[in-house]
Amino acid sequence: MTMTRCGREMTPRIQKLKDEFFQTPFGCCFERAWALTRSYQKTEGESVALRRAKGFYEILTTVPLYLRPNELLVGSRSSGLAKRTTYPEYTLASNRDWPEEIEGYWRGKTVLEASREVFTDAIRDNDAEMTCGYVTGTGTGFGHLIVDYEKAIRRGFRAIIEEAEAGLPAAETQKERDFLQSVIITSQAIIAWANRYADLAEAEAATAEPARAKELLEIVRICRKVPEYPAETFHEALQAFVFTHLAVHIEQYGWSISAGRFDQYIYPFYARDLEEGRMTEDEAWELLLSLWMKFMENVHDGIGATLFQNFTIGGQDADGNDMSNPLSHLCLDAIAATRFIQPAVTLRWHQNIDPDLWAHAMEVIAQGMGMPALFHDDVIMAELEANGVSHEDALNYAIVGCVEPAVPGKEQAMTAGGHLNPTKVLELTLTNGKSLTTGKQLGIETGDPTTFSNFEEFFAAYTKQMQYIAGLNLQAAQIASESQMRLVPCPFTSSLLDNCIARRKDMVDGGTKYSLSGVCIIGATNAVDGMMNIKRLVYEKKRYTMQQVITALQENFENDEIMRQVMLHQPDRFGNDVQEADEMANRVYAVHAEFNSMHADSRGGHYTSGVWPVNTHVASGHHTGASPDGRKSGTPLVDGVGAVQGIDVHGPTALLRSVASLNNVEHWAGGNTCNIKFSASAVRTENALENMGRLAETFMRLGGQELQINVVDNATLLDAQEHPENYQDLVVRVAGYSAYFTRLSRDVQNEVISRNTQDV
Amino acid sequence: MQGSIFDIQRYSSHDGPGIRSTVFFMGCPLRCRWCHNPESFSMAPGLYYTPEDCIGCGLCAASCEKQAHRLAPGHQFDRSLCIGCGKCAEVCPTGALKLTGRPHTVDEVWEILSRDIPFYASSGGGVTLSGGEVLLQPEFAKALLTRGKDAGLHTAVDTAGAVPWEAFETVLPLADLFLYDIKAVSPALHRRATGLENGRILENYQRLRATGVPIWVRVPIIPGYTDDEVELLRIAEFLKGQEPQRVELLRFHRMAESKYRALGLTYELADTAPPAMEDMERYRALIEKELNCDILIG
Repeated sequence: MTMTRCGREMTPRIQKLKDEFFQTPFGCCFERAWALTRSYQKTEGESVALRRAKGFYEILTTVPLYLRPNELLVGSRSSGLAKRTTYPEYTLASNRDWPEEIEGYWRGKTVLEASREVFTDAIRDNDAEMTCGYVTGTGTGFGHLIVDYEKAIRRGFRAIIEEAEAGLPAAETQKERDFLQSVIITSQAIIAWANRYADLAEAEAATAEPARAKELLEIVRICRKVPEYPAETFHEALQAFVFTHLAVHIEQYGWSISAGRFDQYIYPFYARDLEEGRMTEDEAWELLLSLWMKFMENVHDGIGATLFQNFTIGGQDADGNDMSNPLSHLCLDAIAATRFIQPAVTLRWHQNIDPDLWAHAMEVIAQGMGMPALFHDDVIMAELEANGVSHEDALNYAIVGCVEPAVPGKEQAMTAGGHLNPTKVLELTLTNGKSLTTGKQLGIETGDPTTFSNFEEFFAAYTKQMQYIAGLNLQAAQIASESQMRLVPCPFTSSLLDNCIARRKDMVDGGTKYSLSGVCIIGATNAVDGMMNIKRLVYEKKRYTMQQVITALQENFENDEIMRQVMLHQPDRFGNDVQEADEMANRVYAVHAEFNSMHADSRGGHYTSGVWPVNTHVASGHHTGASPDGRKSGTPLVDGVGAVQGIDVHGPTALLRSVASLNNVEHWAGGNTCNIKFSASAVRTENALENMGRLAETFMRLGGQELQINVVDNATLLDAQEHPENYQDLVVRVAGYSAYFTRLSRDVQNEVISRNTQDV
Repeated sequence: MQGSIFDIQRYSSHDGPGIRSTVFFMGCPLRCRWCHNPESFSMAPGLYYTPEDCIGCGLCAASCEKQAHRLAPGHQFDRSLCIGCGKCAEVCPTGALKLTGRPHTVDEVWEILSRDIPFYASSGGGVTLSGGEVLLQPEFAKALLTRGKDAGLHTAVDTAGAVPWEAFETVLPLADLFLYDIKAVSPALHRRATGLENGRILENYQRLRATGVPIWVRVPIIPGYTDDEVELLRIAEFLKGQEPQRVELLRFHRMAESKYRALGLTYELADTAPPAMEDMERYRALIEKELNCDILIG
């Protein structure tokens, strides 16, 4: 393959930092927890806003700092490399080895306990079986947001202090005053923090060899300037960005805290430095890699566990002109050069996208990192506008976490405001509310399905059951929202979200301009296929009675493998370009989508629905009994809005036509994901890459929302040889010839693997 | 009108430019030792049987009038009794039994092909007829190509050329591209490799070339048969002065092995390793010097 675009490589400096990071044993750092506890002990009786702000100040002014050898960008949440930071105020369940004093202080005061305590039995039971619930924010922060990095970089925190001070005279309540005061304190905290890094670098410079000393003195200069004052150079802008991003993470125990449209707000600094000769392209590249390294270093759960920090690149202006720039290309190169799993990169597709950027993206995708993920501007913007976002703000959307659209700097969404498992709800419809896996009465009684005379009656029962379960989920989400509001306001983050300062209101209290809280749907397609099977096999063809189906599911198909096979091979299933199955999907999804969108959240917004299972489809599957799509009890559910694994037998165009037919704007404003896989040998030629690009583009034109293309590497193929049961759907293509990998003899599998190798 | 078809592969990307759908015709006069589509030998449907998928349910035995399937107690299949009626495949719940193909109407095939028009349009792709030998069913091919041209699509016909010239004439005005297999020029080698003489194949190539229609010649590189530099030079010599748009050297693979097993056929090349990539490059360089056209490895 001619790699015309992916030419940039790791630099020795970053390679060394990478190697060192991956070789460092993962550990735990209690410094943040100690500092917060200390501060809380001193501030008993003060308002929660001030306690949070003073705790944040104590953390940033006392947690020991470190610099990595030869790094150009500095900053860390913890006192050492590869150490998890600890957040006792959210949950004590994240660690077993809390220092006694910390655990003793926080026991009974955590967000987790505050949420769980008020859960009803119904919520608790359904949460335990992942029918619904497991709301982000019960034992963590909300995360899932994009602050206004541009404000932090271009204006600096000195200006934010002034902004908050200017608001004080208008404050009407103590709560408003405390909020503004808390913003002032957290701004002072980040300024002090940056200056501590300057002090540390200054001390190191004194003994460093001359070349490093020069770099360190530049770091000193920069950390004394940003993020207090406006950044003026590319290096300053990136350093201000790193401090801001890490400080958001220090304030709350969150995932999916994302960067927004990085290539847009950083590019002017990049272009000006190059233009004015302050920086070479090589220097810019190494600084960008340094940033990638900082994002990779930012961990909660171990090295290799992503925090879903997402960068969005590309997009269009109000006239539909492409907004990509040379920095967008560099971000693509950084994916391929670093092979880091984070940051994740999102590319916005629109009608006028630069073909060169698109081709570049395909080349990077062919490297097998599953990035960039591809999003369709028109669909996402229509979704946001349908949910009350202005056209101007919708144009500026970026992706949070995996696939959740958000307005940078203006939205505190609770995008993971609970989960719903329609396959489990279908189970409850078949059992009159009783869980197949535990026998508990999880749902309401929607009638004995053997008494239903037609499919419509069955669907009506499902609808009632779903509305009940979805209602429980929103109760859980509201409880989480309230405990966040009561216990963990986030003044630092709020200072970078419109209109918190203007409204003198923290983000947890609804200070932001927008709030679109999302509910994640797990196991969507299994439910759709199950519905199709019940319609076809029970009500239309009458091949099985409802009682036979229920019995078979109760027995996990142990005594009726034939029925399971018939269900698996019933041809009219989602993902095969079968209109009736595609319509069934829209019908099934309308039930929860309409329910959620009717309900307000506690921050002035309302709920939407999305699909971003990450790997919860495995855990949820564990709690889901045998299902009428032919799935056995306890096995994984589908991993997105695509076809159930192995069911799409007509190739990617058929799958993508089905997925593009979903009513995205009405049902999926919370984002959704469709994954397709190619073997490396299928994308080895330029022609094949071009076709892959056209495939994705046509999907978008047909109305598709999101596409993630995974190019399967040899590690996957080797794993498929060892565990064929997990890879029944893995199609490999050699010279236009497709075959199921697990069906090939060992010898031929090895041949496919060797062909794959040639491409990497 | 009906045609015998064994598969329609969507998102096919090697049978012509862009994103395509390829229709696989049944029936072929050649018996290439390495054939990747053994289900296309005959125009009559055969039966795939994949024992790994069989759950021993016995529905096939109950449906078979010829007692080709028995439970004794595991599934026993006597292929010699099978008449390809397909009743067992219809009741088989797992897909362990499947008919290789069946007669299709033009409407039926076109309904599927037309679904991917947006993908063809964006990529400069279209529809390819392949096989088997497409030109054993020239009227059906013509009807499909007509639909394709009416819809403004790029059309291609993949042929091995061992058919009367009249069959070419039937489709000639409707095909934008021919994919033309030339396995060997030496008659003895061709007979050994495919079971048939190649006189008509070479003659048809010359006539087709004379019409000026774009042609991509495909030369499979099969160890023990066509991985021979002397033979490749003969092919180059034959093509010299009447070059196609491009020549594709197709590297042997064994992905069809499981199909042979499912059809109860012996795959003679099951133990043959594919040619090394360095050798493929060498062959390419060798004929590139001789010919005035693009030489690609496929």
